[in-house]
Amino acid sequence: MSVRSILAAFALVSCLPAIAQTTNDWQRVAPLAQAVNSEVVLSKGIDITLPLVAENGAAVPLRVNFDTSQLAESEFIRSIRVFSSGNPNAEVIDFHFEAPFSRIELSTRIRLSESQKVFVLAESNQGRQWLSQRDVRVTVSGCLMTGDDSVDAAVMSSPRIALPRNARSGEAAEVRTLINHPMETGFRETAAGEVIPQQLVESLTIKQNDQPILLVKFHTGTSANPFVSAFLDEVDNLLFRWEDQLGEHIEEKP
Amino acid sequence: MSNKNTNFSTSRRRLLKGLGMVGLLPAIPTIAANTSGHAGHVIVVGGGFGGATAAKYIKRGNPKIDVTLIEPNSTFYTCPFSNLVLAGERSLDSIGHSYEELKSVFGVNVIHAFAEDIDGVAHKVTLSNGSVLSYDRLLLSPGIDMRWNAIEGYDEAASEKAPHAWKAGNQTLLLRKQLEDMEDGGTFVMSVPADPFRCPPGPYERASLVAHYLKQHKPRSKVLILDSKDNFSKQGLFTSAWKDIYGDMIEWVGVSGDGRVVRVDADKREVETEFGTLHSASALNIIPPQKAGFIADRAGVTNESGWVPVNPNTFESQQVADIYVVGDATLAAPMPKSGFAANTQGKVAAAAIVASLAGITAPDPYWANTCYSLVNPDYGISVAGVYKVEDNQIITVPGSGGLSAADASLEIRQAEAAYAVGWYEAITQDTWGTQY
Repeated sequence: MSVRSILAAFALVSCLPAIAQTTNDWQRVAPLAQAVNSEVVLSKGIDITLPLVAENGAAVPLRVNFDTSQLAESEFIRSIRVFSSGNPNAEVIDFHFEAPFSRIELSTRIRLSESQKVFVLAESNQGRQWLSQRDVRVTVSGCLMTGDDSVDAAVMSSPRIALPRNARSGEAAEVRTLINHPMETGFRETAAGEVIPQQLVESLTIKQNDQPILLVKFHTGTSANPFVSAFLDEVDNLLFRWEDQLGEHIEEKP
Repeated sequence: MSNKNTNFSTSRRRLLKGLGMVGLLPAIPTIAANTSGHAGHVIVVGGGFGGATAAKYIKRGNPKIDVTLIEPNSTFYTCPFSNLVLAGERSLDSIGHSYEELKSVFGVNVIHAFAEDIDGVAHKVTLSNGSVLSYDRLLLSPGIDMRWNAIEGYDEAASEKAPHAWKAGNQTLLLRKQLEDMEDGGTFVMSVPADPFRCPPGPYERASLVAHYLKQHKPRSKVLILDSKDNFSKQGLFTSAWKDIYGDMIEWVGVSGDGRVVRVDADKREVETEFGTLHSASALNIIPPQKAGFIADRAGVTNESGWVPVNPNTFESQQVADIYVVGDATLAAPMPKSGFAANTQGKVAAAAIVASLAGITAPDPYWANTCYSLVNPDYGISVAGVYKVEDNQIITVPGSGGLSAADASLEIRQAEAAYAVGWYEAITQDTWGTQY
């Protein structure tokens, strides 16, 4: 135990400079700097789960927890937005809450083109903002070369929804969803050197009793086959609607 | 089937591989006669590719250093080539290696016991036989432990009924038995974890060699791979070879096709995926998420990822002084978690330990890795890389290594299968033996 406590002390010391730098890093990411309002930005309360080292930058699992106990009465989270410092386009994914959620715990899979910082910005209905960041090292593991650069048709297919098996009323429960789509960024070229045009799934709207409760906006930083999970307070009468850049849509009920 | 008379001479290749391996050794400083008498005591925990190599190369670097190797088993069964045992193409004995030559030729003191605890401050290791040993430098090559219950219902007891076979030996035989007992027309189901895990191409070689067995003995059967990711090692090479050799026998389902297994019922040999699909298996192989072996935790060298961060120049722990860690337990990406990588890391750590005990600076390291995979016993594919340190991080040397060509002839595939055998013989000799 003595080794551990010494180490813990060291870890604490080495964390300090990182916190001090936070205010500078986000200002260099233009869309994030624009999204930050003039209010005081709070750095505590958001927990970001990302691998320290990602061996496949095309689909890096991201989990965001927001501690709702720090919200005032009648205050709730309006949006959680994710940005990156090193992708060609800094926007990764946005979650807009159309109703108060008692538990903010989201997960998705994101694209990281290189080692960089990932930022999460939360905003409440009262205009308060919280900002947090994490470093991720992206390195393609030596054995992970796939030798496969196929181009898939840019159409949405196979929407999937998983409801919790034992959801209890009055307790938020995790709902997972996924749709198949290559999410072409517009940054990729074919072997012949032609740019593959951008084709994205633009959004997922989750409705409950015909009212939208969660709107998810996907960007080039969202992985192919966009995956989202969220904790919903009720899981009855849900409808999921995806829209792509071509104006096509797919609706699915659990 | 055994058409191995290609234009390439296996034995010559073998020799070259052997030489190549010695050549890769980053010039371990050979310490001349040590007048002080005591050159130090190094304890090595774990007698796999990383630990056995390190023990041997420390003695080669300076025979005056006392080296004690702690390893519970008297025979080490390698994960490389264990898929051939599973497919009935090799005996388990043929992938077993003893510590006799490390003892008799190199003078390594081998103790067959478990290391149960480590005190990094006092420099002491406690063994399962009750003894407590002191060290000047400690090298851990702890391999992996399974994350039991990371998949609901998959714990150590369940692994007796739905083997992982991701540590070779009894687990390999358990899965072999299920495959032998399977009826023609049954389904072999395999669950594969997300990165990082031991041996990235291993599950896909296993699927291939299981299909090779089924094609001969139970041709109406299927192999179903349920994967927690959408891309895998040598994917293009594997999928096109599967189609050519096995037709529709092997089906792969990635995470975006609902391939991630979230629940296992080992008694019923049934699994459930993320979006609620149930799959029944005649033979069930669950390769669960993994972490560094238990003793790394006891030593305090793991971080919150469950793996061990190391100083890339020496493979010394970033968290506890005088403890070096090599092999699958480490965070060494872009180096893969492979036996070959552990072997070269063992040599780098050995060189660093020899230098450190002599009070001199360790040489600059570099590493190489080749992962051969057999799609059948006469069809090999590979991926290779060379690694060095830049800006205090391990990087792939630009332009090094690469994949087998997608359009290679069958003769090349046969030759690569033969190289795989040569590679196995060379690296196991380099690790546990005296040949080459």
